[in-house]
Amino acid sequence: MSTAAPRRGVQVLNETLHAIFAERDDVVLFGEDVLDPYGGAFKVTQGLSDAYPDRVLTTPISEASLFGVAAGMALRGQRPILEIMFGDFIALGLDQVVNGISKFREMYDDQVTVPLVVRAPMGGRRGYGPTHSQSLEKLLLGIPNICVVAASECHDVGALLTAAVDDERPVFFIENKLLYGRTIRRPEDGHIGELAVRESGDPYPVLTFSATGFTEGSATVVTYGGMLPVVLDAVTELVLEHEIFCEVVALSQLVPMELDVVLESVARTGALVTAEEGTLTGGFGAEIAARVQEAAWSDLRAPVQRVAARDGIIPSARPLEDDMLPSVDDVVKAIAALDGVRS
Amino acid sequence: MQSSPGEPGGTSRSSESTSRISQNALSRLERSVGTWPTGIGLAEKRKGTGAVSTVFLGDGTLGEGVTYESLNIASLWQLPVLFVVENNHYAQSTPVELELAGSIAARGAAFGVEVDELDTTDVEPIHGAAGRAIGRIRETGAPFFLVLNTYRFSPHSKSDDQRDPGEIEERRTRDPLLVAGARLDDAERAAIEARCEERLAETVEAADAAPAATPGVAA
Repeated sequence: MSTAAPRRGVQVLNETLHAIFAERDDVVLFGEDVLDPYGGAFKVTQGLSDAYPDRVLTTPISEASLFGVAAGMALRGQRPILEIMFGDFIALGLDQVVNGISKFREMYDDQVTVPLVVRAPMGGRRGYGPTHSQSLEKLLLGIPNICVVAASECHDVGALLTAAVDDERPVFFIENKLLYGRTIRRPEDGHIGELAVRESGDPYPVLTFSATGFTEGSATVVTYGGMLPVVLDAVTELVLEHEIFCEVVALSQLVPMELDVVLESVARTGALVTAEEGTLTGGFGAEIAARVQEAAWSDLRAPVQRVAARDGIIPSARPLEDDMLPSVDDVVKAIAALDGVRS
Repeated sequence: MQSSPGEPGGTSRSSESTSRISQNALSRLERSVGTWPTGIGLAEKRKGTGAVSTVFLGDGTLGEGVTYESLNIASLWQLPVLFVVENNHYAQSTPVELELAGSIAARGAAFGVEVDELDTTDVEPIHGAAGRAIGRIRETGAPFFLVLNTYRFSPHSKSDDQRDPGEIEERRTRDPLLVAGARLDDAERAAIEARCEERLAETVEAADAAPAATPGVAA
């Protein structure tokens, strides 16, 4: 069906922002260096300030205050989108989130909502070094009453962003930096490449991939965002070289965490590997491991395995960065090492 | 708290544009340190309502860096925000001399924000200054920085007070209730006090009569 030219993540995000601005007058975007002709550090806002000069604001380097400014706007009926240039800098604004943005709705007994979107580019593999390469989603996992959405190259990225802007909750929208340059690969006839794909959940769907058409499987790998292509490469390698058939579950909604699809997959495969680009300790995989062993102990024939970045800082030198971040090989080894893996 | 566009010199009287929600929001944002009110000012400016966003800060708040980010943004974007700094000379137990360098008023001026400063506990001049500040915000569209040098009689919380009782005693001679009350004749004052007592009693009664909150059930 699809004959459209392949599109990269940055194009989809940019076109979606233009469409949102055309659709809604109450949306305002602000962030550092977002004006044309620069159009943002990753060019996601290109053309937007030329088209909507009153609704795109370039800001001082003041992330902490900007989180609060966005909150104030949302409290008064606007729909702010805050672009954080590098996701690492969300740390500056977390006080505003933890002690305000996430609390207002309950503090004021549902009289207010705080419908803001924080767009945060995360992730490494570009040689940007220790403070511009991190995946800090785990800092958000334990904050009640927010929503964390992570786009991947197999999701409908535009629909995710549109849903985030329409959401009454505060939403962190995580964009892995590699997504910008990657070609979006949507399911066609229920497949992406050789893998069968199911999509479920609304408004932030879960994608489930199977190498066998969901008839059997040796393990489930749960992941999100920028780790999805790494995991898909690993799963393909396992089929071709080891005849091990896996399922992959790609979440787009990380918070609130909903794992029904993961549990259904684990019921078919009997084993779980988690894969994330952030550092290992206290992360996405840790939370999922805790929940899955609690809910599906009898389905598991082996301990849950976690694949993640090593607990440390991300070096600038690419070979050292590659060694630090989780690779295709790390995922292959984690699956192959599972007890009783069927092949 | 917002003042309404219909009252050029007014502060926070009720009107169509002064919603209960926004009053509540700001009256409880004790950790806002200026950020949310600045965003509220931006929203009201965009909507063209003429409303002014007002935030109350203290000398202690001036230790938070994010307050200066907000002042910068409010001035840079010319937002209708009234920053009221109540310098009560103590941050919890710490006297202002141990927590603040330089001048408070100069902090507003440094960001190109118009400043007024009062050394009084008399509500009449404070009311006049607040009205002028809001009038200026309406006139210029720009923020205003109003410094009120004042004092707190009670402990910061509970009974954690190690201040010199003589200092508190001396300040009590300038209690705003004494100063304002001196303008009233005895009968008028007694009537106001009776109304206040009655309203407080009603509030306590209503709270006592209300069912206890139930965990897990939204009100």
